[in-house]
Amino acid sequence: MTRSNRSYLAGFLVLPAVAVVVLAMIVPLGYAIVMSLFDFQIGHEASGEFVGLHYYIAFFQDDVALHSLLTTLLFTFVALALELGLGIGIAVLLTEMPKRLSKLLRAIYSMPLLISPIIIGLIWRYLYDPTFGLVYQWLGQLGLADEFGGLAKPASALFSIIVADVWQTTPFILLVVTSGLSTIPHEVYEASRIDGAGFLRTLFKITLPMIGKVIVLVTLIRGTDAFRVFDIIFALTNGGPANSTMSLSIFAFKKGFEQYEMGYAMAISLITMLILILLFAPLVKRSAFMTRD
Amino acid sequence: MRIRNLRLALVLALIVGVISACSSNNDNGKSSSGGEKTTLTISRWAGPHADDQKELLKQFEKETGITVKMDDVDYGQLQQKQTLNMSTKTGEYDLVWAQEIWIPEYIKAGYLHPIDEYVSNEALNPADFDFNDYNPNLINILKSDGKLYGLPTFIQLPIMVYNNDMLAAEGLTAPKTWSETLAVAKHFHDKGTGIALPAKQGQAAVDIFSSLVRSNNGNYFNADGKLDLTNPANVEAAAFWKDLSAVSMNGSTNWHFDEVNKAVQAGQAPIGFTISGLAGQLEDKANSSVAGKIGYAPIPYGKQAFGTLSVWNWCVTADSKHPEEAYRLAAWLTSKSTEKQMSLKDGQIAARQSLFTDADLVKQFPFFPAVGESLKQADTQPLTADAPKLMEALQTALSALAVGNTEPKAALEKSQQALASVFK
Repeated sequence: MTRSNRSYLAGFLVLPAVAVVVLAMIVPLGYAIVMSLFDFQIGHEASGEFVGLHYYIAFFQDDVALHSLLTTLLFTFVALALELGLGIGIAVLLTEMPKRLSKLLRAIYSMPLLISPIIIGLIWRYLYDPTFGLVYQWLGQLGLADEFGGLAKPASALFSIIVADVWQTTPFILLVVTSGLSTIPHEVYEASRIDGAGFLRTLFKITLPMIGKVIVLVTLIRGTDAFRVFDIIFALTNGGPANSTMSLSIFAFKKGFEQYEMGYAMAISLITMLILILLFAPLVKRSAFMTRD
Repeated sequence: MRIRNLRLALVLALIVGVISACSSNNDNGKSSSGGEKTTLTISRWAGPHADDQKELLKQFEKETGITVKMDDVDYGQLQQKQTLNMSTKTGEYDLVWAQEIWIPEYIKAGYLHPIDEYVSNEALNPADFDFNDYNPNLINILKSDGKLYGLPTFIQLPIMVYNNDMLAAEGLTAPKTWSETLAVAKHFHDKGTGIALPAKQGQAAVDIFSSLVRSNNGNYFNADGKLDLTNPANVEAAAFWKDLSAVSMNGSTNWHFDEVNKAVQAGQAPIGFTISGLAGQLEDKANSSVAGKIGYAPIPYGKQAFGTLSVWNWCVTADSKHPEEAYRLAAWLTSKSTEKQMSLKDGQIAARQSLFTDADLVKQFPFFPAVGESLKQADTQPLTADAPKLMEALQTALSALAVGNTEPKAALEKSQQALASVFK
C-alpha cells in the first residue's frame, strides 16, 4: 500500500469519529450561535424574531449579568485554589503514611464524590441552617455562631458555597494527583534522601515538578467545571441573597426557563464558553495529553 | 403424546387469555384511537402530596383499566422538565400539573389541548363531576380566547401561623395588622427567635409581598396598566417587609416555605408565614410537636386582609396521544369525591366550592377558616406573559431588603428601571 493510499484509509477510518464530533459538538454549537441572535421561546424557534447582537450588548449593560460574571470568576479562582491546595496536600501526606492506612483514608475522603451535586447542596443547606444545622451548633460552642452569616448574608453566602464545593470536589483532585504521584520512580526519592533533602525541599524540587502536567490537567478539568457551577448554588441559595451567589449558569437558567428568554440564555452560555476559552486555552496547550515527552 | 398435550394446553391457555382480555373492562383502558390498553403519564412535583395521590390513582386504574404513570420531580425542576417535554413534542406527558403563572405561557406556546368538548361529554366525566362547583375565578384563569385549557385542583395561599402556647406564655395575642405583627416579632426576636419568614430569594417572598401590597391598597400597575412599583402604598409594604426581616429568625433570609414550616413544626418558631398546602403537616400528630397548638390567620394587613392565590391545574398536553383519557383522569382527579379524599389525607384545599366548607374537612384541618378568610379577597399574581420578569425583579429586590442591603424606595426604583423596557 502506497503512502497516499494509507492516508486515504486513515482518513476514511476516522470519518465516524469526525461525524460524531460534528453532530454532537459543532452542529449544536452552530445552532446555539444562530439562535442567540433571535428572540424566541423554546419550542417556537421558527417564529423567533431576529435581534442580531442585542443579547450580547444587553449582557454587558446588565448589572446582574456583570455581577454574575464577577461572582463566577471569584468562585472559580477561590474554589480552585482551595481544592488544589488541599487535594495536592492530602495526596502527598497520604503517600507518607503506611499503605493500608493511606488506602483507607483515601477511600473515606473519596466518598463525597459518589454523591450528586444537588444532594450535596441539600445536605449543606441543612448543615448551614442556623436553627437546625450542625455548622451553627459547632460555631455556637466556640461562641462564633452570631458572627457567621452563612448562606443568609450576602457577605458570607458565596464563601459558604465554596466550602461545600471544596468538600465535594477535593477528593477528585486527591485521586488524580495520587495517580500522578504513583508514577514518580521511587529511586528519585531515595537519591534525594541520600543527598539530605528534607520534606519541603523534596516536595517543591521533586514531587510537584514531576506531577506538573497532572496538576495542569486537573486544574483544567476542575477549573472549567467550577466556571460552569450550577447545581450546588441552585440547591443552596438559588443565586441569592440579593444576587450575591448568582453564577453565569444560574443566570442563564433563570433567563431561559423562568423568563422564557431562550435567545438571551444562549447568548449568556456562549459568552461563558468564550470566557472559558480565554481563561483555560493556555492550559490546554500545556496539559499532559497535548504533548509527548 | 406429551408434546401434543402440551400444545393443546398452550392453545387452550391462549384462547382463555384472549377471551378474558376481550371480556374484562369492557371499553375500559382502551385508548381513544381504539388500540392497546392505555398508559397515561402525568407530570407533577414530588412529595407527600404526590405519594397520597399515587395511592388514590390505584382506584382510577381499577375503575377504568387505564394505567397511570406519575413522573414526580422536585418542584424546582418541574417547569423546566414540562417545558422541555412539551416543546420537543415527545408526547411523553399526557397530563401536566401546572401552576397558574405558567398557564399563559403554556397556552401561548401551544403546549395545551383545549378541553371544552370533553367537559360537555358526560361519558368522560364521573357522576359527581358538577362543573359549576369549580370556583369560577379559577376557571377564568384557565381560559384563553374562550377556550378552556385545564381543570383547577389545588389552591394555595400564604397564611400566618402562630404557636398559641408560646404567645400565651408571653401574654401576647395573635396579630392582625402590620404594627401588631412587628411588635410580636420584635418581642420574640429580643428573646432569641423572631418571626419565621420565607425570605429566600424566590417566589415565596414575592407571594407574601403581593399580599402586603394589595392589603395596603397598592398595586404593581397603575390605573392605565403601566408599571408603578414605586407608588407610596408599595413602598410602605416594602418598608414593612424590611422591618419584619430585621426581626426574623436567624437564617430566614435563606428560607423557603418548607423551612418556615419545619421551624414551626419543631416548636422553635413562635410565629411565621407559611403556605396553606404545608399547613396540614403542622397538624400531623405523628410528626409535629405542635399539633393542636397552632393558630391560623391571614397574612397581616396594612388596611384589609388580602390573599395571594396560587392554584395548580391539571392540563391535557397538546401532544398527548390519549387526550380523551387524559381528560378523563383530570375530571376524576378533580371530582368532589376524589378531592375530598385528598383533602382528608393531607389537608389540601381543592378548587371545589362545596368542599371548602365541608364539615369533615374543617373539623380535621383548623386552618381551613383562615384560608377561607384570605380567599374572600384574593387574587393571583399578574398573569401576563411578561409577569415572570416582574417576579424575578421583585425576588431580587425583596432579598436585598431582607438582608438590609438597600432601602425600600431605592429597591423598588431599581426594579422599576430594570423593567422599563419590558413594561413600556
